Amino acid sequence: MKVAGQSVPRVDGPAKVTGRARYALDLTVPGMTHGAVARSDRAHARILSVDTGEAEAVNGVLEVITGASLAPLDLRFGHVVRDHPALAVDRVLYHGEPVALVVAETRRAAERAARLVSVDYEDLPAVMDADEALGEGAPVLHPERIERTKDEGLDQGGEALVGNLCAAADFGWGDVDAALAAADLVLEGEYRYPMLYGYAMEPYNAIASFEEGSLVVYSTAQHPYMVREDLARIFALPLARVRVVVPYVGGGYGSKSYTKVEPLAALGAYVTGRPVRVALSVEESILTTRSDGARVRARSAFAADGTLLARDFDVVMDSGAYTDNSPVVCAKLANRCFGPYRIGAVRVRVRSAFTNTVPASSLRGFGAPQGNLAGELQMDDAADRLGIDALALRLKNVVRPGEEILPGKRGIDADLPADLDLLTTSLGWPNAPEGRGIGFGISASDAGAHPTSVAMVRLHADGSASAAVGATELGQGSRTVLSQILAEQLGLPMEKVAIVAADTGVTPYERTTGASRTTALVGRSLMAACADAKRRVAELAGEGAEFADAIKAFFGAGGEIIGVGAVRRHGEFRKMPPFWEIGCSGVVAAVDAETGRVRVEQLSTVGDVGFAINPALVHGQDLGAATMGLGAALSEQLVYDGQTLANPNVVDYRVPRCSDIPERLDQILAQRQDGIGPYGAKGAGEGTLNPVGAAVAAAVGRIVGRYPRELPLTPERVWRLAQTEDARV
Amino acid sequence: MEFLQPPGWREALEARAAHPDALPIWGGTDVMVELNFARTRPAALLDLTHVPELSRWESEDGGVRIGAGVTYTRLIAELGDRLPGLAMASRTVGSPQIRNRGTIGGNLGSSSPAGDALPPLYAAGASVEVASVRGARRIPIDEFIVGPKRNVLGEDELIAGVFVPVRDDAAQQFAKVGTRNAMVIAVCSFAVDVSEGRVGTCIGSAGPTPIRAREAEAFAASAAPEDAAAREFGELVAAAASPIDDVRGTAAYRRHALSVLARRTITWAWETRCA
Ligand SMILES: Cc1cc2nc3c(=O)[nH]c(=O)nc-3n(C[C@H](O)[C@H](O)[C@H](O)COP(=O)(O)OP(=O)(O)OC[C@H]3O[C@@H](n4cnc5c(N)ncnc54)[C@H](O)[C@@H]3O)c2cc1C
Repeated sequence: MKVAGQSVPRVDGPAKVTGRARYALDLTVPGMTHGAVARSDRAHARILSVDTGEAEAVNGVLEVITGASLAPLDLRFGHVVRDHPALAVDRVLYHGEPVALVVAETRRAAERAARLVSVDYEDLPAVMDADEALGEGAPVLHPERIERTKDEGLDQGGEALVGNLCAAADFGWGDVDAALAAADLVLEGEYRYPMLYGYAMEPYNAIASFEEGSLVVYSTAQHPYMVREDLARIFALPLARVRVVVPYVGGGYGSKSYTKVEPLAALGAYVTGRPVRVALSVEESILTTRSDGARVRARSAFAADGTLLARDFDVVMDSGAYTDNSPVVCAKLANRCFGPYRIGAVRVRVRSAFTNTVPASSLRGFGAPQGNLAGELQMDDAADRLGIDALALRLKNVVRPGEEILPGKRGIDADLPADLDLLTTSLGWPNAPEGRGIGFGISASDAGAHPTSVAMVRLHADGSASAAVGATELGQGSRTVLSQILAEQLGLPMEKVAIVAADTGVTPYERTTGASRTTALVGRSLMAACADAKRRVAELAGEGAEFADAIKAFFGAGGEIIGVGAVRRHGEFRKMPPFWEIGCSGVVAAVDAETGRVRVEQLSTVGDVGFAINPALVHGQDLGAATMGLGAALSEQLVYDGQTLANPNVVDYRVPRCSDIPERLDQILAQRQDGIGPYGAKGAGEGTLNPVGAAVAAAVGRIVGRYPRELPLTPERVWRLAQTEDARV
Repeated sequence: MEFLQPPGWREALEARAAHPDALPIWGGTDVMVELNFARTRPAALLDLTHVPELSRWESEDGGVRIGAGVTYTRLIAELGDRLPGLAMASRTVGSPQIRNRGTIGGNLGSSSPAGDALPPLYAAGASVEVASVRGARRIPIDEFIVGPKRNVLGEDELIAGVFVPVRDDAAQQFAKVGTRNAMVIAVCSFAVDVSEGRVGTCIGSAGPTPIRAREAEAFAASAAPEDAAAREFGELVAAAASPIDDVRGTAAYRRHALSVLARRTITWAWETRCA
């Protein structure tokens, strides 16, 4: 291999470091107007009337649009359940929900007018807590339930959805109760993982216009093809007439998965006939999407020799006001919570609850970190109680390559004992430096999402080649990696290849840019497209012919050869998931026991990626993901104070900074070419995050003598933990 | 919004007198946050960054007079040897960008109980120099700040600077827990200033204003520098604080953390003086 496996410089690097790269926010289109959003200041209320008079009077205002003014248009979007109105129609379900969109010639006029929209509400009882929401007598957010969309990739099991139950997952095997009764050790505990904001530098924004019968939208969407479906439905347009274009995106992390502000911009354009930009501030973005917080009750049963006999998880997720992607997070949390262990009996019940809070959706890790906290901490606690080393206990129970952890699903395509070995060697386990604690853990995520990807390769007459793919560039380096694969497959240097991406009007279908799938799945559809193109070359000019010669011979002048390739749930991709994304991370931490301050001094990650097509990019992803894990472990949490967020801005909501990065970073790559992706690659980008919360908690627990059960580990929580008299978990 | 940018001190005072509703701005690291979050909407901004007099500092009898426009970065680089406590506190402020922009005058102007420059100034017994076209006056800092984000600045007055006494062999310390800008993290800070026969203290973030722990000061001024005394000092400091329970944390934790910070800082200060 010439190009694959090399840390070639990012193809978008020079443009990005010189500020020339274009993001949606940098674009303007001729005649563009500006939308600003008026938001609810109630958590749950009936809208009696909206007075737009004063707002309309502001100089430069073109239109003040309310949910009711748009009938008979159905404003609801949602890829799983279409229950999320772009503008509230008759009720608001959370503080911060959009109630009106002002379109004006300038952003300033739009913002000023938005503050003048006055809404008459009748307050309704609100429910702010997920457990309460599922209890008797709680106010019901969605009394009329809307049927789920028919989509094989989003199939759900679980109980009937009544009351505030947004989604549920529930499965198991073996006789859990018998195993619990017979076990030598049963651990039981309740754990809490915070609700988070997936901070990205570029807030949500979009520009929409109707041009020649088509809706054209430039946006920050991670999954433009999913957004296209929502827009097509709202405006009753065929998919062919909705074009969603996504330039560079300033960070996604799942927070930009699925539809956000695109319908608002499109509604503005629909009503005014002018192009409309809706660009949210960070504060408004916090009011748009967050991640699901979780309360996890977990029980683990062990035999005296350390055999993990049974696990029983009961989880309630706080999913906020609308469905969005929480059902998928719910299903994934269920699949990921008990860990990659060989367990005779498992029972998992996860319920996602509607509450009158900001709607929750995807975020890096996707259900895994929530469950992993409980699962891995109970492994550590069991090790202490059984007098077995925590690494030995994991090695005893962790699955071996090829073994299933979910019946009927793909076996684990990784060597977890070897990964644990690499990790604990780096951490110096079990010998922590004086006064320090080591914590580590492992996770396996059913990644890749539904494997649908289509790619197109174009061979040009001058011997260069370009590829069109639907994947977005979120900063993760997709264009670079896909360029490398294209170059490698066609035997071209990097200078002679280019990627055109993420324009639903031009590039072929891509289901999502999420679930760590792009390198593995788009990479494979791209390889298939290259093979197709090469086959055509051979057909035209014989085996081994140069494609430039073939083009010349066939067309005489000009011309090109196009190859297409696809990945679908078929053949080697039949079994779900397409690949497992492994998390294997650990820390060395110090605690100031008197003040409770935690300092992570070392972070070690094992990137079990099968094959690193670009090792530098994998390092970037592994460090970035683990750092987000540190944020949740130590400082990030959206806090509700009554019915409003107490910290809805990034001054009070603290994401990690450079000075929070541990001094020692040890980033290890495990490359066993055991993945389904190109050259044996698997995905990266989320795995290293997933065990970090539990790892930090374990390190702190080993120092203070008691394992924490709630993140983030603020100084006060750690201090209280050190004060508590009750025994361990 | 009107934007006033006087070129010198005289013009600044005149502008202030003519526009009592203008909001002074230097680094803008507090003001711009307020404006961006639409918490204030002043009729005018009075930009002081073009007033050269404000960004100077000079030695004076018995101390240093620091202009209101001196940034944290400069406090650290230029005054770290004379005012180590203030430099320590400055190092904990925000990020490099905030330290390059934010000023001591802005911290005084905001008068937040969480302002990090304030505890060392209280502990040293600093006084704030305010001025107007009518003249200048110096006010002891604990009389200048009178409540959460409230001070006695007259509507035609500006903060000219702050006078900080420098005592021979003074040992100064500053410590804090938590980061100021993290809602969920309880914060408190403590400064101590120990010289011959005098101990100055100040608690930050645990009450409506920064608070001097007078009883603790009197106790430490005459105590022998021993562990038990440091512990007692810590308890006295904690007792002087008046924290409240809020979403950031409980009063009990803050009081406890303060006793720890106070015990540690006095111990370090005593060690410095003995060394
Ligand atoms: C991200 C971030 C992090 C921060 N972290 C910290 C921290 O860790 N610790 C901390 O203490 N602070 C912190 N701050 C707050 C801020 O940086 C400080 O309070 C700083 O000292 C303000 O100085 P400034 O020059 O920017 O003031 P400005 O914002 O310009 O002004 C602040 C106030 O003082 C008034 N003012 C300014 N100059 C004068 C004058 N000469 N006369 C009269 N009034 C005047 C203004 O009218 C205003 O009310 C942070 C701010 C941000 C945005």
